[in-house]
Amino acid sequence: MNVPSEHLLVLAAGLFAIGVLGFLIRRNVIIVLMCIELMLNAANLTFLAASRQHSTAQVVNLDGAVFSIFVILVAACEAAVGLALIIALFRLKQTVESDALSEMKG
Amino acid sequence: MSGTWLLWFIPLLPLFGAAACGLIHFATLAARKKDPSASGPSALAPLVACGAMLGALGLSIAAFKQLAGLEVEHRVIESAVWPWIHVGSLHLDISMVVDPLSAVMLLVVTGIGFLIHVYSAGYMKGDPGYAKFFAYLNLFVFSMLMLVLSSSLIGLFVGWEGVGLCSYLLIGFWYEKGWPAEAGQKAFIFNRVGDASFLIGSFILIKLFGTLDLSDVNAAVAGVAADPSKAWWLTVAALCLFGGCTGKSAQIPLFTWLPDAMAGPTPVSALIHAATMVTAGVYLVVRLNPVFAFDPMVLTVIGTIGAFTALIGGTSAIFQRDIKKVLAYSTVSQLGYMFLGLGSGAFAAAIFHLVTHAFFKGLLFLGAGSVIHGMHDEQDMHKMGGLRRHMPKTFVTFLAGAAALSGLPLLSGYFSKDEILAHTFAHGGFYYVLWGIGLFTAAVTAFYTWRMVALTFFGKERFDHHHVHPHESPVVMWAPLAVLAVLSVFGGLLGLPPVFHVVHQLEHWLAPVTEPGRALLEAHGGVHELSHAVEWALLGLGAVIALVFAHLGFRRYVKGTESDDNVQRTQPALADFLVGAWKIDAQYYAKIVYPSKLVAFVTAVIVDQFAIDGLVNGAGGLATATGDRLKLMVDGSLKTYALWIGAGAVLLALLWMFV
Repeated sequence: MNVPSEHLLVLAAGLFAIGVLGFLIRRNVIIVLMCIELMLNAANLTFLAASRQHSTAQVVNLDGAVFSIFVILVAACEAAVGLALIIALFRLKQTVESDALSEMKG
Repeated sequence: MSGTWLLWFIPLLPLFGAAACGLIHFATLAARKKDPSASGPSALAPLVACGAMLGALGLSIAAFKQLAGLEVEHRVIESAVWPWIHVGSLHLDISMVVDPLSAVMLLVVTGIGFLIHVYSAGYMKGDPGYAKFFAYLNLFVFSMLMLVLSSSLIGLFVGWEGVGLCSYLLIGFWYEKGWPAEAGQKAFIFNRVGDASFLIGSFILIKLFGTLDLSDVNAAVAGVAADPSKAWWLTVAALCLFGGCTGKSAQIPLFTWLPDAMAGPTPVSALIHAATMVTAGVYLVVRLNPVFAFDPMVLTVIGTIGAFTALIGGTSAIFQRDIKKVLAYSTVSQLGYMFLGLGSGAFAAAIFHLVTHAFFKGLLFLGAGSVIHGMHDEQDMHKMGGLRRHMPKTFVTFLAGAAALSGLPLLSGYFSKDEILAHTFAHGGFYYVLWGIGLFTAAVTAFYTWRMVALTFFGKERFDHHHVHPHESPVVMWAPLAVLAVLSVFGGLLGLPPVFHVVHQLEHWLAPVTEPGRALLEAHGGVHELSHAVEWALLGLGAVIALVFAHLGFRRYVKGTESDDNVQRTQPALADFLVGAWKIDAQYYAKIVYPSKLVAFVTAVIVDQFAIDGLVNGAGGLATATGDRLKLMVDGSLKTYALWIGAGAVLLALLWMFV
């Protein structure tokens, strides 16, 4: 079965939209962090789709895969830092609601 | 020749003296910080300053003797040369050169300078700036000696600016009074106008000859005659240099700073504003006499300006009440005579008058200072009178100076002034008018001089006996007066007129310097000889006029001030016109100073405070206002930020896709 690249892109766009939407409307910072992961993975999927698109029967293009591995690496770091921040936030405010963070209000 | 490097020490000794006096001044200030009444080491300052002057005087006399021992054609001593500016094809070297002209100036500057330093030791005693005064005075002498000795026009200009600076510092010496500071600024600004003209003249000379070495310039003038365009530029250069002289030597149109310069201490007026600095212009013209004599038109301009300056200065002195103002206007007038002499091509006569004027005007200023000192800083002659009984030594020496200034027969001023007038008369043509003006001014001079003597030393004592107790000045003050009085009386021996059948010493001595200019004049037919009969007649006329008007001035005022009051009552407009120096200064105020102040006000308030400050403050205000609006976007909600980030990303994506 040969899945066309468009399908992959549509799936990625859908995942990204869900991530953005969740990022914007959810208040729980853990969920927001998860939404960011979702967006990153949507991006990974796009990379892989593009990479596949540029491969021929003879030459397999691995650029997208390499990028994806980098993104996964960064995402792991980001999750570690993000969760640490959330713990620090919880210690400070006894909540993980993002609305509690408004000290920077102009 | 060995030891010519010693010439450098003539100006350098006063410079070291100035530095030492400056250090003494700072030490005095430090001592005063601990104890406000302490005088510190300031008593050392006059010793250091006078010592430096004595050294310079000794070296000058030695240089003069060495010069006199040389053959007439080789009378030049040049010191080691210091290469100063070497840029491209322009080479400016500085060295000290003594030739007959600078030797005369050297002796005048160091000799009279030394006497005035001694006098100042008494006059300035007790002044809080005692050491500072001597530092400035020595610095002035250094600059003046640089001016006189420099081998190139640029070195001369350094001295020229230096004396201007010291003049400014010394006029404003008592700056805390307010008006001396303003007078100092006025002198400085007027001199700057002249100096700009001087510089332009120097630039033209560089363009023409590629050098500023004075002897090279003088030698190169002869080669210009063949080239009409170069000749034209040389005329312009001469006029520009003369413009510099009008500033420094207080000629029309830049003379009005000199009467105001009397705000300085009186020894300053004697040294700077009578004997030396103001004669720098005369020195410059004689030094570059071929440049000025090249075009007879330039000499006519110089003579005309000199004659009218003499007239304006002389008439302005008639009704002054301030004794120093009389002398100041008299100085303007006498400088006018010197330029009249230069304009007639009588370079030696002008230097002769410069020397005798340094003697008798220095004497008169110092005498006036002695009077002011004895009268507890009173300068109004209407509040003096009868001082001959209280200050006999000052009185006798002052009489000698007054007699010389008014040109009473056989005194120094008589010979020098009549020599200038005789040369002017001999020139003929338009110069008859100038001669008439000169003769009229001579009458005026005799009148105001003896009015001053009568008001100060004769008549009733018009001062308040309860508060003022006139006293004779100490010996350090009257001893210089006595020396100058002798010089004023016998100074005429330097240049007896040809009818006496003796050699005119000064003219003979200066001949190597003035010869190129005289040769140029001769080529134009500008050298005239008078018959002995005419000369006798002119000498007699000068003597009669001086005696008659001296007598008139004396007799009118010996009784008191009624004559002045009469004029004030019957001719207020005339008196006002003359006291205000023909209202020229008032015109400057109306036409130049006030418009400048208006422009300055408009610039300060409208352009600077309104437009420029408005722009600067507006930029700041704009940033603040923008920040005030933008900060509303930062509402502290994470989601809003995310929304903005998303919006930005979308915008960038759209831009990338469609643009």
